[in-house]
Amino acid sequence: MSERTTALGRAVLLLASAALIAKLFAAGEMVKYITPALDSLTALTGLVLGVMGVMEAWRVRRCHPRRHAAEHSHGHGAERPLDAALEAGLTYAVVLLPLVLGLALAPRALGTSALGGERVTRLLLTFAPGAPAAPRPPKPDEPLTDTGALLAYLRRVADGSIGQPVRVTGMVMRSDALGAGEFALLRYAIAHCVADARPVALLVVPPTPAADVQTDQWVEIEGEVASREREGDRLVTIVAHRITPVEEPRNPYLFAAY
Amino acid sequence: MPGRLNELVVVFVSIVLQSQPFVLLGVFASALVQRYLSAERLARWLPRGRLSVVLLASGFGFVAPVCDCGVIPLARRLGAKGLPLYAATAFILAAPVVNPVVLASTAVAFQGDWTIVGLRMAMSLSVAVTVGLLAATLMPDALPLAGPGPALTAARGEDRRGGALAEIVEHAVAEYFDISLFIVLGALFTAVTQTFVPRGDLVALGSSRIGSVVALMPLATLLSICSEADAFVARAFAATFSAGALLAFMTIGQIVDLRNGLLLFRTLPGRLVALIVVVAYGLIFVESLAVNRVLLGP
Repeated sequence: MSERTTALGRAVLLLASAALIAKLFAAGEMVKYITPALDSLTALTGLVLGVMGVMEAWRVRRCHPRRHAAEHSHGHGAERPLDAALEAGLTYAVVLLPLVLGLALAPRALGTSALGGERVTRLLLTFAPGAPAAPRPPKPDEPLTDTGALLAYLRRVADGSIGQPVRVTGMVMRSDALGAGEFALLRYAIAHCVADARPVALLVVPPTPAADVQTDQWVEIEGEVASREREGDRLVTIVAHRITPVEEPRNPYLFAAY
Repeated sequence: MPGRLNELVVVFVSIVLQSQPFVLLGVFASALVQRYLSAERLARWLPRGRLSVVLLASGFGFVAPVCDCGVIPLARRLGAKGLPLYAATAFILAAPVVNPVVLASTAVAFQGDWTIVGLRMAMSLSVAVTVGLLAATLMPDALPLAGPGPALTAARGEDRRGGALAEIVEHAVAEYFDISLFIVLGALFTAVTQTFVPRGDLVALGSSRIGSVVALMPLATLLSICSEADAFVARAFAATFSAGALLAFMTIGQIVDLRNGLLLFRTLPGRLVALIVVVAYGLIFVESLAVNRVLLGP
Protein backbone atom coordinates (compact mmCIF):
# COMPACT_ATOMS: atom_id res chain seq x y z
CA MET A 1 0.00 0.00 0.00
CA SER A 2 1.50 3.34 -1.00
CA GLU A 3 2.20 6.01 1.54
CA ARG A 4 -0.31 8.27 -0.17
CA THR A 5 -3.06 5.63 -0.02
CA THR A 6 -2.27 5.00 3.65
CA ALA A 7 -2.46 8.68 4.50
CA LEU A 8 -5.67 9.06 2.53
CA GLY A 9 -7.30 6.11 4.31
CA ARG A 10 -6.26 7.45 7.68
CA ALA A 11 -7.56 10.92 6.86
CA VAL A 12 -10.94 9.54 5.82
CA LEU A 13 -11.27 7.44 8.98
CA LEU A 14 -10.23 10.28 11.28
CA LEU A 15 -12.69 12.66 9.63
CA ALA A 16 -15.41 9.98 9.79
CA SER A 17 -14.72 9.57 13.51
CA ALA A 18 -15.12 13.31 14.01
CA ALA A 19 -18.29 13.21 11.89
CA LEU A 20 -19.72 10.40 14.03
CA ILE A 21 -19.22 12.41 17.22
CA ALA A 22 -20.78 15.49 15.58
CA LYS A 23 -23.74 13.45 14.32
CA LEU A 24 -24.39 11.89 17.73
CA PHE A 25 -24.41 15.30 19.40
CA ALA A 26 -26.57 16.83 16.67
CA ALA A 27 -29.09 13.99 16.81
CA GLY A 28 -29.18 13.93 20.61
CA GLU A 29 -27.95 10.33 20.53
CA MET A 30 -24.72 10.75 22.48
CA VAL A 31 -26.60 10.19 25.76
CA LYS A 32 -27.43 6.69 24.52
CA TYR A 33 -23.72 5.87 24.63
CA ILE A 34 -21.90 8.14 27.09
CA THR A 35 -22.89 10.10 30.17
CA PRO A 36 -23.53 13.82 29.54
CA ALA A 37 -20.92 14.53 32.23
CA LEU A 38 -18.31 13.65 29.60
CA ASP A 39 -19.81 15.78 26.80
CA SER A 40 -17.05 18.38 26.91
CA LEU A 41 -14.33 15.74 26.75
CA THR A 42 -16.11 13.90 23.94
CA ALA A 43 -16.60 17.11 21.95
CA LEU A 44 -12.93 17.98 22.39
CA THR A 45 -12.05 14.48 21.21
CA GLY A 46 -14.12 15.00 18.06
CA LEU A 47 -12.35 18.28 17.45
CA VAL A 48 -8.90 16.73 17.87
CA LEU A 49 -9.80 13.82 15.59
CA GLY A 50 -11.04 16.31 13.00
CA VAL A 51 -7.82 18.32 13.17
CA MET A 52 -5.78 15.13 12.88
CA GLY A 53 -7.86 14.15 9.84
CA VAL A 54 -7.36 17.51 8.17
CA MET A 55 -3.62 17.43 8.80
CA GLU A 56 -3.39 13.87 7.48
CA ALA A 57 -5.35 14.91 4.39
CA TRP A 58 -2.98 17.82 3.92
CA ARG A 59 -0.07 15.37 4.17
CA VAL A 60 -1.54 13.32 1.32
CA ARG A 61 -0.47 16.05 -1.10
CA ARG A 62 3.16 15.71 -0.04
CA CYS A 63 3.36 11.91 -0.12
CA HIS A 64 5.09 10.19 -2.97
CA PRO A 65 2.38 8.22 -4.81
CA ARG A 66 4.48 5.09 -5.29
CA ARG A 67 6.46 4.93 -2.09
CA HIS A 68 5.30 2.19 0.28
CA ALA A 69 4.32 3.22 3.79
CA ALA A 70 6.00 0.09 5.15
CA GLU A 71 9.39 1.33 3.95
CA HIS A 72 9.20 3.89 6.69
CA SER A 73 7.54 1.90 9.40
CA HIS A 74 9.59 0.22 12.13
CA GLY A 75 6.69 -1.85 13.36
CA HIS A 76 6.23 -5.34 14.67
CA GLY A 77 6.85 -7.63 11.85
CA ALA A 78 4.69 -5.99 9.25
CA GLU A 79 7.77 -4.77 7.37
CA ARG A 80 7.00 -6.68 4.17
CA PRO A 81 4.80 -4.59 1.91
CA LEU A 82 2.18 -7.34 1.52
CA ASP A 83 1.93 -7.91 5.27
CA ALA A 84 1.79 -4.19 5.88
CA ALA A 85 -0.95 -3.80 3.28
CA LEU A 86 -2.97 -6.63 4.79
CA GLU A 87 -2.62 -5.24 8.28
CA ALA A 88 -3.49 -1.74 7.13
CA GLY A 89 -6.53 -3.04 5.25
CA LEU A 90 -7.68 -5.05 8.25
CA THR A 91 -7.16 -2.05 10.53
CA TYR A 92 -9.19 0.23 8.29
CA ALA A 93 -12.01 -2.32 7.96
CA VAL A 94 -12.20 -2.89 11.71
CA VAL A 95 -12.00 0.81 12.57
CA LEU A 96 -14.71 1.48 10.00
CA LEU A 97 -17.14 -0.94 11.67
CA PRO A 98 -18.15 1.16 14.73
CA LEU A 99 -18.19 4.27 12.55
CA VAL A 100 -20.69 2.73 10.14
CA LEU A 101 -22.82 1.34 12.96
CA GLY A 102 -22.81 4.65 14.82
CA LEU A 103 -23.58 6.69 11.73
CA ALA A 104 -26.23 4.41 10.26
CA LEU A 105 -28.19 3.12 13.23
CA ALA A 106 -30.44 4.85 15.72
CA PRO A 107 -29.53 3.45 19.15
CA ARG A 108 -32.06 2.52 21.82
CA ALA A 109 -31.48 2.32 25.55
CA LEU A 110 -30.41 -0.96 27.07
CA GLY A 111 -33.38 -3.16 27.86
CA THR A 112 -34.00 -6.10 30.15
CA SER A 113 -31.94 -8.35 27.90
CA ALA A 114 -28.85 -6.48 29.10
CA LEU A 115 -29.26 -7.89 32.61
CA GLY A 116 -27.16 -10.89 31.63
CA GLY A 117 -29.34 -13.34 33.51
CA GLU A 118 -29.33 -11.52 36.86
CA ARG A 119 -32.52 -12.32 38.75
CA VAL A 120 -34.91 -9.46 39.33
CA THR A 121 -35.19 -10.33 43.02
CA ARG A 122 -31.47 -9.56 43.41
CA LEU A 123 -31.86 -6.18 41.76
CA LEU A 124 -34.79 -4.77 43.72
CA LEU A 125 -33.87 -1.86 45.94
CA THR A 126 -34.27 -2.55 49.67
CA PHE A 127 -34.38 -0.41 52.77
CA ALA A 128 -31.34 -0.99 54.96
CA PRO A 129 -32.08 -3.61 57.62
CA GLY A 130 -32.86 -2.06 60.97
CA ALA A 131 -32.80 1.46 59.57
CA PRO A 132 -32.34 3.93 62.43
CA ALA A 133 -35.32 5.99 63.41
CA ALA A 134 -33.51 9.24 62.70
CA PRO A 135 -35.45 12.50 62.61
CA ARG A 136 -37.23 12.54 59.29
CA PRO A 137 -37.23 15.63 57.14
CA PRO A 138 -40.62 16.92 56.12
CA LYS A 139 -41.94 15.35 52.96
CA PRO A 140 -41.97 17.61 49.93
CA ASP A 141 -45.42 18.96 49.16
CA GLU A 142 -45.06 18.11 45.51
CA PRO A 143 -44.33 14.59 44.25
CA LEU A 144 -40.75 13.80 43.33
CA THR A 145 -40.94 13.79 39.56
CA ASP A 146 -37.58 12.38 38.62
CA THR A 147 -36.36 8.83 39.20
CA GLY A 148 -32.85 10.03 39.99
CA ALA A 149 -34.19 12.52 42.53
CA LEU A 150 -36.25 9.76 44.15
CA LEU A 151 -33.20 7.50 44.45
CA ALA A 152 -31.17 10.34 45.97
CA TYR A 153 -34.04 11.03 48.38
CA LEU A 154 -34.19 7.35 49.35
CA ARG A 155 -30.47 7.37 50.08
CA ARG A 156 -30.91 10.38 52.31
CA VAL A 157 -34.00 9.48 54.32
CA ALA A 158 -34.36 5.69 53.77
CA ASP A 159 -37.73 4.55 55.18
CA GLY A 160 -38.54 8.13 56.08
CA SER A 161 -39.66 8.30 52.47
CA ILE A 162 -42.66 6.02 53.03
CA GLY A 163 -45.79 7.82 51.94
CA GLN A 164 -43.86 10.21 49.69
CA PRO A 165 -45.79 10.96 46.48
CA VAL A 166 -43.68 10.19 43.40
CA ARG A 167 -43.83 10.27 39.63
CA VAL A 168 -41.15 7.99 38.22
CA THR A 169 -40.20 6.68 34.80
CA GLY A 170 -38.58 3.44 33.81
CA MET A 171 -38.85 0.16 31.95
CA VAL A 172 -41.24 -2.61 32.91
CA MET A 173 -39.66 -5.89 33.89
CA ARG A 174 -41.99 -8.82 34.47
CA SER A 175 -40.93 -11.90 36.43
CA ASP A 176 -42.53 -15.02 37.84
CA ALA A 177 -40.60 -14.35 41.05
CA LEU A 178 -42.82 -11.34 41.76
CA GLY A 179 -46.38 -11.31 43.07
CA ALA A 180 -49.47 -11.34 40.88
CA GLY A 181 -49.64 -8.21 38.78
CA GLU A 182 -46.44 -6.81 40.27
CA PHE A 183 -43.49 -5.81 38.14
CA ALA A 184 -40.11 -4.16 38.56
CA LEU A 185 -39.41 -0.66 37.28
CA LEU A 186 -35.95 -0.86 35.77
CA ARG A 187 -33.39 1.86 35.08
CA TYR A 188 -29.68 1.66 34.34
CA ALA A 189 -27.09 3.89 36.00
CA ILE A 190 -23.87 4.60 34.15
CA ALA A 191 -20.60 6.16 35.28
CA HIS A 192 -18.98 6.70 31.86
CA CYS A 193 -20.64 4.69 29.13
CA VAL A 194 -23.26 1.96 28.77
CA ALA A 195 -20.57 -0.71 29.08
CA ASP A 196 -20.47 0.03 32.81
CA ALA A 197 -24.27 0.21 33.20
CA ARG A 198 -25.68 -1.19 36.43
CA PRO A 199 -29.39 -1.92 36.87
CA VAL A 200 -31.53 -0.30 39.55
CA ALA A 201 -35.02 -1.74 40.09
CA LEU A 202 -38.02 -0.74 42.17
CA LEU A 203 -40.93 -3.04 42.99
CA VAL A 204 -44.21 -1.70 41.63
CA VAL A 205 -47.62 -2.71 42.95
CA PRO A 206 -50.05 -1.71 40.22
CA PRO A 207 -53.55 -0.35 40.75
CA THR A 208 -56.55 -2.57 40.21
CA PRO A 209 -57.24 -3.64 37.56
CA ALA A 210 -53.61 -4.35 36.72
CA ALA A 211 -52.16 -2.30 33.90
CA ASP A 212 -51.46 -4.19 30.69
CA VAL A 213 -47.84 -3.25 30.13
CA GLN A 214 -45.22 -5.52 28.66
CA THR A 215 -41.59 -6.08 29.53
CA ASP A 216 -39.30 -3.34 28.13
CA GLN A 217 -42.20 -0.89 27.78
CA TRP A 218 -41.30 2.55 29.17
CA VAL A 219 -43.91 3.79 31.63
CA GLU A 220 -44.52 6.74 33.90
CA ILE A 221 -45.89 5.79 37.30
CA GLU A 222 -47.69 8.07 39.69
CA GLY A 223 -47.96 6.70 43.19
CA GLU A 224 -46.31 6.73 46.58
CA VAL A 225 -43.39 5.08 48.31
CA ALA A 226 -44.19 2.06 50.46
CA SER A 227 -42.46 -1.00 51.85
CA ARG A 228 -43.13 -4.73 51.24
CA GLU A 229 -41.57 -7.60 53.18
CA ARG A 230 -40.07 -10.38 51.01
CA GLU A 231 -37.83 -13.15 52.30
CA GLY A 232 -36.56 -11.03 55.16
CA ASP A 233 -35.94 -7.93 53.03
CA ARG A 234 -37.92 -4.71 53.12
CA LEU A 235 -38.32 -3.79 49.49
CA VAL A 236 -38.67 -0.20 48.40
CA THR A 237 -42.05 -0.28 46.71
CA ILE A 238 -44.03 2.11 44.57
CA VAL A 239 -47.76 1.67 45.11
CA ALA A 240 -49.00 2.91 41.76
CA HIS A 241 -52.14 5.00 41.34
CA ARG A 242 -51.68 5.42 37.61
CA ILE A 243 -49.45 3.80 35.01
CA THR A 244 -49.00 5.51 31.66
CA PRO A 245 -46.97 4.13 28.72
CA VAL A 246 -44.50 6.74 27.50
CA GLU A 247 -41.75 7.07 24.92
CA GLU A 248 -38.16 6.29 25.87
CA PRO A 249 -36.77 9.48 27.46
CA ARG A 250 -34.08 11.51 25.75
CA ASN A 251 -31.57 10.49 28.40
CA PRO A 252 -32.58 7.02 29.55
CA TYR A 253 -29.72 6.55 32.02
CA LEU A 254 -29.12 7.65 35.58
CA PHE A 255 -25.80 8.88 36.88
CA ALA A 256 -23.93 6.09 38.67
CA ALA A 257 -23.73 8.00 41.95
CA TYR A 258 -27.26 6.71 42.58
CA MET B 1 -33.16 -3.94 16.01
CA PRO B 2 -33.86 -6.86 18.36
CA GLY B 3 -32.91 -6.20 21.99
CA ARG B 4 -29.74 -8.29 22.03
CA LEU B 5 -28.45 -6.84 18.76
CA ASN B 6 -29.19 -3.30 19.93
CA GLU B 7 -27.34 -4.04 23.16
CA LEU B 8 -24.35 -5.44 21.29
CA VAL B 9 -24.13 -2.44 18.97
CA VAL B 10 -24.67 0.17 21.70
CA VAL B 11 -22.10 -1.36 24.05
CA PHE B 12 -19.58 -1.82 21.22
CA VAL B 13 -19.89 1.73 19.90
CA SER B 14 -19.91 3.20 23.40
CA ILE B 15 -16.68 1.44 24.37
CA VAL B 16 -14.99 2.67 21.21
CA LEU B 17 -16.26 6.22 21.72
CA GLN B 18 -15.41 6.30 25.39
CA SER B 19 -11.89 5.04 24.81
CA GLN B 20 -11.06 7.71 22.23
CA PRO B 21 -10.07 10.58 24.55
CA PHE B 22 -7.80 8.27 26.50
CA VAL B 23 -6.28 6.76 23.36
CA LEU B 24 -5.59 10.26 22.08
CA LEU B 25 -3.99 11.20 25.40
CA GLY B 26 -1.73 8.19 25.09
CA VAL B 27 -0.73 8.70 21.47
CA PHE B 28 0.00 12.40 21.96
CA ALA B 29 2.01 11.65 25.10
CA SER B 30 3.93 9.15 22.99
CA ALA B 31 4.46 11.74 20.26
CA LEU B 32 5.73 14.28 22.78
CA VAL B 33 8.16 11.72 24.19
CA GLN B 34 9.27 10.93 20.65
CA ARG B 35 9.81 14.58 19.85
CA TYR B 36 11.32 15.91 23.05
CA LEU B 37 12.82 13.11 25.16
CA SER B 38 16.16 11.81 24.01
CA ALA B 39 17.45 8.37 24.89
CA GLU B 40 20.46 9.96 26.53
CA ARG B 41 18.33 12.10 28.81
CA LEU B 42 16.15 9.13 29.79
CA ALA B 43 19.31 7.12 30.58
CA ARG B 44 20.53 9.92 32.83
CA TRP B 45 17.19 10.04 34.67
CA LEU B 46 16.90 6.31 35.29
CA PRO B 47 18.33 5.18 38.62
CA ARG B 48 20.81 2.33 38.93
CA GLY B 49 19.47 -1.04 40.01
CA ARG B 50 16.44 -2.95 38.81
CA LEU B 51 14.38 -2.49 41.94
CA SER B 52 14.76 1.29 41.79
CA VAL B 53 13.84 1.35 38.10
CA VAL B 54 10.79 -0.85 38.66
CA LEU B 55 9.59 1.24 41.60
CA LEU B 56 10.07 4.45 39.63
CA ALA B 57 8.23 3.04 36.61
CA SER B 58 5.38 1.73 38.78
CA GLY B 59 4.88 5.12 40.39
CA PHE B 60 5.24 7.07 37.13
CA GLY B 61 1.46 6.99 36.67
CA PHE B 62 1.14 9.65 39.37
CA VAL B 63 2.73 12.17 37.03
CA ALA B 64 1.68 10.63 33.70
CA PRO B 65 -1.99 9.86 34.27
CA VAL B 66 -2.92 7.58 31.38
CA CYS B 67 -5.53 4.85 31.62
CA ASP B 68 -5.32 1.37 30.15
CA CYS B 69 -6.30 2.65 26.69
CA GLY B 70 -3.46 5.13 26.50
CA VAL B 71 -0.69 3.51 28.48
CA ILE B 72 0.60 1.22 25.72
CA PRO B 73 1.66 3.91 23.22
CA LEU B 74 3.44 5.87 25.93
CA ALA B 75 5.16 2.76 27.31
CA ARG B 76 6.23 1.73 23.84
CA ARG B 77 7.75 5.09 23.14
CA LEU B 78 9.57 5.11 26.47
CA GLY B 79 10.79 1.62 25.59
CA ALA B 80 12.04 2.84 22.24
CA LYS B 81 13.98 5.54 24.09
CA GLY B 82 15.70 2.94 26.25
CA LEU B 83 13.38 2.17 29.16
CA PRO B 84 13.97 -1.54 29.89
CA LEU B 85 11.17 -3.93 29.02
CA TYR B 86 10.64 -4.97 32.63
CA ALA B 87 10.24 -1.34 33.71
CA ALA B 88 7.90 -0.55 30.81
CA THR B 89 5.83 -3.58 31.82
CA ALA B 90 5.62 -2.38 35.42
CA PHE B 91 4.45 1.00 34.11
CA ILE B 92 1.81 -0.63 31.88
CA LEU B 93 0.43 -2.62 34.82
CA ALA B 94 0.45 0.15 37.43
CA ALA B 95 -0.42 3.34 35.57
CA PRO B 96 -4.10 2.59 34.80
CA VAL B 97 -4.80 2.53 38.54
CA VAL B 98 -1.93 4.41 40.17
CA ASN B 99 -2.95 7.79 38.89
CA PRO B 100 -4.78 10.68 40.52
CA VAL B 101 -7.88 10.51 38.31
CA VAL B 102 -8.60 6.86 39.01
CA LEU B 103 -7.87 7.11 42.72
CA ALA B 104 -10.20 10.10 42.98
CA SER B 105 -12.99 8.28 41.12
CA THR B 106 -12.55 5.29 43.44
CA ALA B 107 -12.84 7.58 46.45
CA VAL B 108 -16.02 9.13 45.04
CA ALA B 109 -17.56 5.74 44.25
CA PHE B 110 -16.81 4.42 47.73
CA GLN B 111 -17.90 7.65 49.41
CA GLY B 112 -14.49 8.61 50.75
CA ASP B 113 -13.45 5.17 51.99
CA TRP B 114 -9.69 5.71 51.81
CA THR B 115 -9.00 2.18 53.00
CA ILE B 116 -10.46 0.86 49.75
CA VAL B 117 -8.54 3.48 47.74
CA GLY B 118 -5.25 2.68 49.46
CA LEU B 119 -5.72 -1.07 49.17
CA ARG B 120 -6.58 -0.78 45.49
CA MET B 121 -3.43 1.18 44.83
CA ALA B 122 -1.30 -1.15 46.94
CA MET B 123 -2.61 -4.27 45.20
CA SER B 124 -1.97 -2.80 41.74
CA LEU B 125 1.52 -1.74 42.74
CA SER B 126 2.28 -5.16 44.20
CA VAL B 127 1.45 -6.85 40.89
CA ALA B 128 3.41 -4.27 38.86
CA VAL B 129 6.51 -4.52 41.06
CA THR B 130 6.39 -8.31 41.28
CA VAL B 131 5.97 -8.77 37.53
CA GLY B 132 8.63 -6.12 36.84
CA LEU B 133 11.20 -7.80 39.07
CA LEU B 134 10.36 -11.29 37.79
CA ALA B 135 10.66 -10.07 34.18
CA ALA B 136 14.01 -8.45 34.99
CA THR B 137 15.24 -11.73 36.43
CA LEU B 138 13.68 -14.23 34.05
CA MET B 139 13.90 -12.28 30.79
CA PRO B 140 16.86 -9.95 31.05
CA ASP B 141 17.59 -10.29 27.35
CA ALA B 142 14.07 -9.47 26.15
CA LEU B 143 13.96 -6.80 23.50
CA PRO B 144 12.60 -3.39 24.40
CA LEU B 145 9.10 -2.46 23.32
CA ALA B 146 8.73 -1.15 19.80
CA GLY B 147 5.96 0.76 18.15
CA PRO B 148 5.41 2.09 14.68
CA GLY B 149 8.72 3.80 15.07
CA PRO B 150 9.89 7.30 14.41
CA ALA B 151 8.11 6.94 11.14
CA LEU B 152 8.12 10.24 10.34
CA THR B 153 9.18 12.64 7.86
CA ALA B 154 11.74 14.28 10.10
CA ALA B 155 13.60 10.99 9.98
CA ARG B 156 13.30 10.97 6.23
CA GLY B 157 14.88 14.34 5.87
CA GLU B 158 11.90 15.68 3.94
CA ASP B 159 11.10 19.30 3.69
CA ARG B 160 8.52 19.77 6.45
CA ARG B 161 5.88 22.38 6.69
CA GLY B 162 4.26 22.95 10.03
CA GLY B 163 7.36 22.09 12.03
CA ALA B 164 7.07 20.43 15.41
CA LEU B 165 3.27 20.42 15.52
CA ALA B 166 2.99 18.60 12.20
CA GLU B 167 5.58 16.08 13.32
CA ILE B 168 3.79 15.47 16.63
CA VAL B 169 0.42 15.03 14.93
CA GLU B 170 1.93 12.77 12.29
CA HIS B 171 3.45 10.56 14.94
CA ALA B 172 0.22 10.57 16.96
CA VAL B 173 -1.74 9.48 13.86
CA ALA B 174 0.72 6.64 13.21
CA GLU B 175 0.43 5.46 16.82
CA TYR B 176 -3.35 5.83 16.75
CA PHE B 177 -3.74 3.51 13.80
CA ASP B 178 -1.14 1.10 15.12
CA ILE B 179 -3.26 0.39 18.20
CA SER B 180 -6.77 1.08 16.89
CA LEU B 181 -7.18 -2.37 15.36
CA PHE B 182 -6.70 -3.92 18.79
CA ILE B 183 -8.73 -1.33 20.69
CA VAL B 184 -11.72 -1.84 18.38
CA LEU B 185 -11.41 -5.64 18.30
CA GLY B 186 -11.12 -5.65 22.10
CA ALA B 187 -14.24 -3.49 22.30
CA LEU B 188 -16.07 -5.92 20.03
CA PHE B 189 -15.05 -8.96 22.12
CA THR B 190 -16.07 -7.15 25.29
CA ALA B 191 -19.44 -6.19 23.84
CA VAL B 192 -20.09 -9.75 22.67
CA THR B 193 -19.15 -11.05 26.13
CA GLN B 194 -21.30 -8.52 27.95
CA THR B 195 -24.22 -9.33 25.68
CA PHE B 196 -24.09 -13.09 25.56
CA VAL B 197 -22.29 -14.39 28.68
CA PRO B 198 -24.86 -14.91 31.49
CA ARG B 199 -23.03 -13.04 34.24
CA GLY B 200 -25.99 -13.62 36.56
CA ASP B 201 -24.79 -17.21 36.97
CA LEU B 202 -21.30 -15.99 37.83
CA VAL B 203 -22.61 -13.47 40.33
CA ALA B 204 -24.72 -16.17 41.96
CA LEU B 205 -21.50 -18.00 42.92
CA GLY B 206 -20.29 -15.16 45.03
CA SER B 207 -21.93 -15.70 48.40
CA SER B 208 -18.81 -16.91 50.25
CA ARG B 209 -15.59 -15.02 50.90
CA ILE B 210 -13.55 -17.23 48.61
CA GLY B 211 -16.38 -17.76 46.13
CA SER B 212 -16.94 -14.03 45.81
CA VAL B 213 -13.31 -13.48 44.84
CA VAL B 214 -13.40 -16.42 42.44
CA ALA B 215 -16.57 -15.03 40.85
CA LEU B 216 -15.58 -11.40 40.47
CA MET B 217 -12.06 -11.83 39.06
CA PRO B 218 -13.09 -13.47 35.76
CA LEU B 219 -16.10 -11.17 35.62
CA ALA B 220 -13.76 -8.17 35.68
CA THR B 221 -11.67 -9.71 32.91
CA LEU B 222 -14.76 -10.28 30.79
CA LEU B 223 -16.44 -6.92 31.41
CA SER B 224 -13.23 -4.91 30.75
CA ILE B 225 -14.57 -1.73 32.28
CA CYS B 226 -12.27 1.27 32.15
CA SER B 227 -10.33 2.20 35.25
CA GLU B 228 -12.14 5.49 35.82
CA ALA B 229 -15.54 3.77 35.91
CA ASP B 230 -15.01 0.33 37.38
CA ALA B 231 -15.21 1.51 40.99
CA PHE B 232 -18.83 2.56 40.43
CA VAL B 233 -19.68 -0.90 39.14
CA ALA B 234 -17.79 -2.49 42.03
CA ARG B 235 -19.74 -0.42 44.51
CA ALA B 236 -22.96 -1.73 43.02
CA PHE B 237 -21.74 -5.21 44.02
CA ALA B 238 -20.95 -4.08 47.57
CA ALA B 239 -24.16 -5.42 49.09
CA THR B 240 -23.47 -8.91 47.73
CA PHE B 241 -19.70 -9.35 47.70
CA SER B 242 -16.87 -9.07 50.22
CA ALA B 243 -14.47 -6.12 50.27
CA GLY B 244 -11.66 -8.39 49.09
CA ALA B 245 -13.74 -9.45 46.09
CA LEU B 246 -14.48 -5.84 45.17
CA LEU B 247 -10.76 -5.01 45.34
CA ALA B 248 -9.95 -8.07 43.26
CA PHE B 249 -12.53 -6.91 40.69
CA MET B 250 -11.02 -3.43 40.48
CA THR B 251 -7.42 -4.65 40.35
CA ILE B 252 -7.50 -7.59 37.96
CA GLY B 253 -9.85 -5.79 35.59
CA GLN B 254 -7.14 -3.26 34.76
CA ILE B 255 -4.40 -5.84 34.29
CA VAL B 256 -6.00 -8.84 32.57
CA ASP B 257 -8.96 -7.78 30.48
CA LEU B 258 -10.42 -8.64 27.11
CA ARG B 259 -10.45 -5.09 25.80
CA ASN B 260 -6.72 -4.52 26.05
CA GLY B 261 -5.56 -8.13 26.09
CA LEU B 262 -5.02 -8.18 22.34
CA LEU B 263 -2.94 -5.04 22.53
CA LEU B 264 -0.88 -6.54 25.34
CA PHE B 265 -0.17 -9.59 23.18
CA ARG B 266 0.75 -7.30 20.31
CA THR B 267 3.13 -5.29 22.48
CA LEU B 268 4.80 -7.76 24.85
CA PRO B 269 6.42 -11.16 24.30
CA GLY B 270 3.95 -14.02 24.77
CA ARG B 271 5.82 -15.49 27.75
CA LEU B 272 5.74 -12.13 29.50
CA VAL B 273 1.98 -11.88 28.96
CA ALA B 274 1.63 -15.37 30.41
CA LEU B 275 3.73 -14.30 33.41
CA ILE B 276 1.47 -11.27 33.91
CA VAL B 277 -1.69 -13.38 33.84
CA VAL B 278 -0.34 -16.00 36.26
CA VAL B 279 1.19 -13.54 38.72
CA ALA B 280 -1.74 -11.12 38.61
CA TYR B 281 -4.41 -13.77 39.15
CA GLY B 282 -2.40 -15.56 41.85
CA LEU B 283 -1.26 -12.53 43.78
CA ILE B 284 -4.56 -10.68 43.66
CA PHE B 285 -6.44 -13.80 44.74
CA VAL B 286 -4.19 -14.27 47.78
CA GLU B 287 -4.24 -10.56 48.66
CA SER B 288 -8.03 -10.43 48.39
CA LEU B 289 -8.42 -13.35 50.78
CA ALA B 290 -6.00 -11.64 53.17
CA VAL B 291 -8.03 -8.43 52.95
CA ASN B 292 -11.20 -10.36 53.75
CA ARG B 293 -9.53 -11.99 56.72
CA VAL B 294 -8.24 -8.69 58.11
CA LEU B 295 -11.35 -6.60 57.45
CA LEU B 296 -13.99 -9.24 58.19
CA GLY B 297 -12.18 -11.34 60.80
CA PRO B 298 -11.22 -15.04 60.70
